[in-house]
Amino acid sequence: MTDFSGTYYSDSRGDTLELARRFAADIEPGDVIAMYGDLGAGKTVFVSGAAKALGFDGFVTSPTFAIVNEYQGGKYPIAHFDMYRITDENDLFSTGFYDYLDMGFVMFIEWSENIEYAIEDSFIKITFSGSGDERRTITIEDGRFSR
Amino acid sequence: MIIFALDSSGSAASAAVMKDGKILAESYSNVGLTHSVTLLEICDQVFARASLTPADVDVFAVSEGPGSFTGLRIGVSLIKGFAFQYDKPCISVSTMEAIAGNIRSPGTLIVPVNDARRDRVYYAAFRDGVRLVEDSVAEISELPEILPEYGDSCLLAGDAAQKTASLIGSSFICEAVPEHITMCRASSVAAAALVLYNSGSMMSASELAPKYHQLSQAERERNKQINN
Repeated sequence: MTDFSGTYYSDSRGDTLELARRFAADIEPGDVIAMYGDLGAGKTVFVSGAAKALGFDGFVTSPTFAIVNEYQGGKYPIAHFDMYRITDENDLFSTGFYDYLDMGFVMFIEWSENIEYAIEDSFIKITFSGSGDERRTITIEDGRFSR
Repeated sequence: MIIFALDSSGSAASAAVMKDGKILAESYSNVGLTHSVTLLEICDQVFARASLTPADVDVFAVSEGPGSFTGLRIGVSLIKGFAFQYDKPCISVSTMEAIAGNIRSPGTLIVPVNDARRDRVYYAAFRDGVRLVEDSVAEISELPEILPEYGDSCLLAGDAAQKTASLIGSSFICEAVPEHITMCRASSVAAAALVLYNSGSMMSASELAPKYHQLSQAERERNKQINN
């Protein structure tokens, strides 16, 4: 397992996909990847690259309305969450969040701010900054090693 | 009188057929939360082994919770489907009550505990078949303060029994029951359902619903305690 902690830069959608592809090589079932960053910063693109690298060949979309998308058929099942509208733990419970954890899904989580209390310390934190045509800064803190 | 019972409230899934108080067939597996994949097959097995079909069943019973959100929805939906199709009544059994029914020990405080995540458990308390505490949720570390009100010692059952015993064992006398009687099983649900059937506690398929215990209720209860 490689510790991916560090700061990375992306000048294009392709760069972000490539970073995600390398990152995905060391993902394991039950890993929680908490993503922070504004709209358009590259969170969904990153999940898309990682899901493809894990063998999922369908479409990855932002789960803004569905709250959770499941990507099945690859090396590991993936649950992709958007916690924007999840404001308390009863909401969280009713997304099946804890059940997905038990089932060994790889968990990609957007708007993790809302559910930080429910994540184990060993999560992987990825922060995206930059918008529009700007260069993106992608910071990975791999809690599987440092916390 | 034939009861078909289902449990998928936690990590395990099981189905059982009981006829006149006797378990004819039961199927149980605890290999991860894949109930949506395994449960129908488990039901098929049980009906086949009992040489019965769903049309022969008089009452459909299910563990109503507390427990896993996804698991409860799967179990309750399936039972609703059976009961609706064959126009038969349903019986909804508390997961805690089903577990407590696995144990007979005169005068002993019996405390079922199922994992509610983040070092919390769903719990209740029973003695001699009488319920002392409603289905609740608490931090495991709070149990040594809660339980002395009901007894000096207890038997713990449920999927968090071992964990709870090891965490609170030094401050409250308790012991976890053995693995084969600790889980909520479909046969436990059937046994509890038989009691409810005899007391007429049945409902229609449309009335049947899961009982998710509100996690925030624990916070409210705790705040109330602190404020008093």
